Amino acid sequence: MSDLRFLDLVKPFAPFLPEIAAPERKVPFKQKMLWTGVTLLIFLVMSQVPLYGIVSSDSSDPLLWLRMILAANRGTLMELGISPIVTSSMLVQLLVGSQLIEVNMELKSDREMYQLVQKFLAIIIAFGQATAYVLTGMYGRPQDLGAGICLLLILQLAAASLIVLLLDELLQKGYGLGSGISLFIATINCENIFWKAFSPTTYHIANGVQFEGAVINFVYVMFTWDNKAAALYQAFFRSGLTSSQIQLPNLWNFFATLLVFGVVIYLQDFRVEIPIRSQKFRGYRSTFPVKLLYTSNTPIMLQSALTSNLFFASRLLFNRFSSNFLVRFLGVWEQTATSGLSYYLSPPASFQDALIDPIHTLVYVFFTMFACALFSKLWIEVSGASPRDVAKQLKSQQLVMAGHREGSMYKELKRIIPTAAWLSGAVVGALAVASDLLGALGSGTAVLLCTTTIYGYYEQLQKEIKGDQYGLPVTPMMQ
Amino acid sequence: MSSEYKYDEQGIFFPVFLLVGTSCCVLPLTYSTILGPSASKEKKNVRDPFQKYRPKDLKVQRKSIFRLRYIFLILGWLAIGFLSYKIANSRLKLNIWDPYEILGIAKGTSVDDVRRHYKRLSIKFHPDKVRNMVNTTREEVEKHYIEITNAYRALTDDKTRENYALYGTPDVPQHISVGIALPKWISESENSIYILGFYGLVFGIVLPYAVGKWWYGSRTYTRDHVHVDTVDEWFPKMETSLTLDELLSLFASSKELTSLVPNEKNPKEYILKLLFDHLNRKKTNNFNTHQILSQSDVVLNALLSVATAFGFANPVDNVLKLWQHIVQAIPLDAPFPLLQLPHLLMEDVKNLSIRNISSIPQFLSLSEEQTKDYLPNYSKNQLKEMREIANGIPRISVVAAKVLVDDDEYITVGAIANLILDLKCSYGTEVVPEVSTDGTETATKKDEEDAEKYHQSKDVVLGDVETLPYAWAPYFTQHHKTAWWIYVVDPRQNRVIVPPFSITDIPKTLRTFRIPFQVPPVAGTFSFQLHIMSNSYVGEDVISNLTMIVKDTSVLQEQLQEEAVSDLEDNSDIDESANAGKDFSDDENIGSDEEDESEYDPMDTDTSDGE
Repeated sequence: MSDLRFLDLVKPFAPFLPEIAAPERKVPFKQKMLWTGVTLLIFLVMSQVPLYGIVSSDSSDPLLWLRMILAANRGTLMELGISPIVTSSMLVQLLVGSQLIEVNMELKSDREMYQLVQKFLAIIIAFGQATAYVLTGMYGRPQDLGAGICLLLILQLAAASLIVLLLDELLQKGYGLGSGISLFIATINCENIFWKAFSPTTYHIANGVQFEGAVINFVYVMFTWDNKAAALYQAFFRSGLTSSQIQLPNLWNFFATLLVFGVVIYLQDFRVEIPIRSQKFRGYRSTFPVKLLYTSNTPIMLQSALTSNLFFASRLLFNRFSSNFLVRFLGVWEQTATSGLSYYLSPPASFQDALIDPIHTLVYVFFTMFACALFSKLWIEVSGASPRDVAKQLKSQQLVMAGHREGSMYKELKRIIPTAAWLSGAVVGALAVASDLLGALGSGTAVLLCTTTIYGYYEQLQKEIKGDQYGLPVTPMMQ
Repeated sequence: MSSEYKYDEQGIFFPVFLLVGTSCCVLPLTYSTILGPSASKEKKNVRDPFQKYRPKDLKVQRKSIFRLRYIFLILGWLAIGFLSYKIANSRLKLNIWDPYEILGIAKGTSVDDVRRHYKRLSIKFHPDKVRNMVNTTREEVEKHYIEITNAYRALTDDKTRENYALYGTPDVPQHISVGIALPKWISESENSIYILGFYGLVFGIVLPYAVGKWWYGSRTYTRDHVHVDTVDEWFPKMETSLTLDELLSLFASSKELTSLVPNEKNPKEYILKLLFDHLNRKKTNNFNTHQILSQSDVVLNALLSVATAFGFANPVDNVLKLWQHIVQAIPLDAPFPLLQLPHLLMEDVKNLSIRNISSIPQFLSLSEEQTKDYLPNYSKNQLKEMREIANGIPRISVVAAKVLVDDDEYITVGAIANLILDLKCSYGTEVVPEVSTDGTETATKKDEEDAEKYHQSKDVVLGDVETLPYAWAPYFTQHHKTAWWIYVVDPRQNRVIVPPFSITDIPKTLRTFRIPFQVPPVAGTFSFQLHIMSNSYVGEDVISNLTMIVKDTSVLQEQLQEEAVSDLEDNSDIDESANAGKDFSDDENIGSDEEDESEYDPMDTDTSDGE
């Protein structure tokens, strides 16, 4: 290395960054389940512990619709959720993808440095975000809080983010199942969907009572209303309490969620299976599956991290300089974005809104799909799922594609994998948009993240139960 | 939210919540009970040739979970019914202002009709028009009239109509109060101790207990569902060869069985005594015998895996033989297959064997007169029953066997070969000639197609399937599924080459099995033996020679050279490939000679395949 690289800039900090030691030997499945459970428990406790020193947190919430995707919970230690991690990984990936920083993924030391950079950046972002939250008066005006409390708040938020970071690392290094980020998002979303379907909260208004939970409301109105047809209509299509801003989920939302769930699981089975055989062990044959959803939920996660940060910045700027032309171009905010770039990049509030402003809908649809496809393409390069990496991985295990020469394996993979990556991103983006327009509970992105994560766990469990049938060399698996 | 949650004081909303909660548990459970896999498992359409003669007092094990489930279901449905009734009959007494009711007209009356009706009413109830104020004061009359007017206005004026439709009152939006469908007593202070206690119980005791039970439970039982202590007891006693008696005493020493007789001073001896009584068909009617037999399939299966893990062929053979003897209740020193037939006594069986009639086909090939001659002490019906049972006993037969490596012409060192077996069940007097391989078999078109099919899905069934009835085992006191274990041994070294693999449901026609295994890492000619042992019937084991010619990879040199072209990619991941290679050689110790330290780990931890 002749010249100084960006990666090397982080090196001096390396000894100070906390790190989880990788397990020395493979962790048994049951132990993994236990670790995963403990991690989840810590996370859930953190998202219930209120922040110390808050005066009020009732001011309008700029990130309300993103809370689900970021696994964040208002006014608790998990105020930032996983956004520092996701943001930093997105940033580093963009930098690597655009060749602004140079990483040689084949070198072990570089891979380690790459992860170090991500972690370092995540901590910085956590501090930055925490400071921004406190100073912009999310918890009351900083003057009222006093410097000490402000500092305490920032420290609480940053420390919580660091814990989440370590929890995620713990799972990723092989102590647990899957990635921490997906697990947290899936949990928060399941909780949300469950609550919206079965919530026992009741709203008492003059002409009766409505349950918040969609299913429970359906049962209640079917029993108590005399006009069953009207009751059925209300259960399926109520939009909320007309006399206030409260939105209530209906059965249609509930079924739309189930539908999206089903479609995602159906699509999981779409795959191209490349037959492979072993050179070392003659007669051994297997397949290398390239799924339609090759990159799974990563693109949508990165896309939502991008938009959420954009919205947050735009919102902050708008509060400060609401008359500046550029700021207004970025977004004009009331309760939600009402015009500007932010408006066009945020999902339409409902199906009617989508029809009323078709330009908004079109821009949103195309942006989401395109961004997802792009992120998907970048992701395979970074995550070691690119054709070159896969070819190398197969080769190191002396596996070749049946009916192809060894040299042509890379070419063949290059034909299939990038297409799969593009398609994967676009399909996931389209699904997110579709579920938004259908009105799935939570947001489309959230439902999608949740479903893909749960399916991932299901697959892992299946693999564990079936085992490797005859102790044959294992098929190289992705991710 | 605010702290002023309204709890459900009238007890109207909480039942709804309970109803939905109960339904969420009961409905899926009902579905799985009625239509689930556990209900459809029993295949009723199989004809059971032994049905007529099976002992009537067969103790079929019922799972207690099943009964518990039914109780839960009934309670659940009762609760649903009760809650539904309660909800349907309790109407919320809200003072809902209903202008239609005040005017005394039906809902949805048109504006014109309302107007007409109001005129009529106003004539009747106008304070100026009401004459006979006997029972009422003027104020009351005025109030009533104002109400009527309000109702009329709500139904005719556009603005008020809209308000009424939206908010249920003719006035502006009201305060919305938020409640929760939980009964009031949950939040009352005198009950807080119970609520907190409940939480403490659930999160402080039940949850840790459940997790602990799951965690430690998984450590006390092995993959074969026997106690770890059992395996620990067995493992040091494994030898390169074990007799049936030695294995029987191992069987008796398992914790599963000794724990059945906790009051005995020497449980192992007691169990052995019971087992000998069982094998000699002494009628004891001891409940413990029945309990022991009900555990025997699980324990013997575990014993088989321990013997397999130990790796020597003789114990594996003998465990399976012991299994047959226990199922059929035949003395260990008298392995006469004809003892499986009903009524036939030991001395007659011995006499028959002197006349060289010892197997079932031989017995069946006798004419009726001959049978009567040889067995004069039996009635005609008894002889008929014997023949019927003998005809119903399935015997496995190998129609064809070969060892092939997919896509290759030869078997080369270290390759993954497939042992391809065409199997069928023969009945009656049919005897399939013995099959053995000499290593020169080649793949046919059918083999290639099968390979392709198998490759597509590992669960594919090649050939036919026929559900076999439970084994004919009148002394076993319970149902026993007929199965066979296939394995390959190296008789020269007394080692198991391909571990036992159980199969069942073999048809009368043909079914093909493909059993993959790794070829020894050295070239040469290997004479192995294929063993197919029943777990139910004595005297029908198949042992056939399996010769394999393993060649060096150099015979495929030309092919390999062709494949090794153009290595453009730099192969820098050395440690990965080295690891992959090491993994494999660690896992597969095939062909490696005497290895006293066995790797069997009863804890099931995956220590052998490190990353």
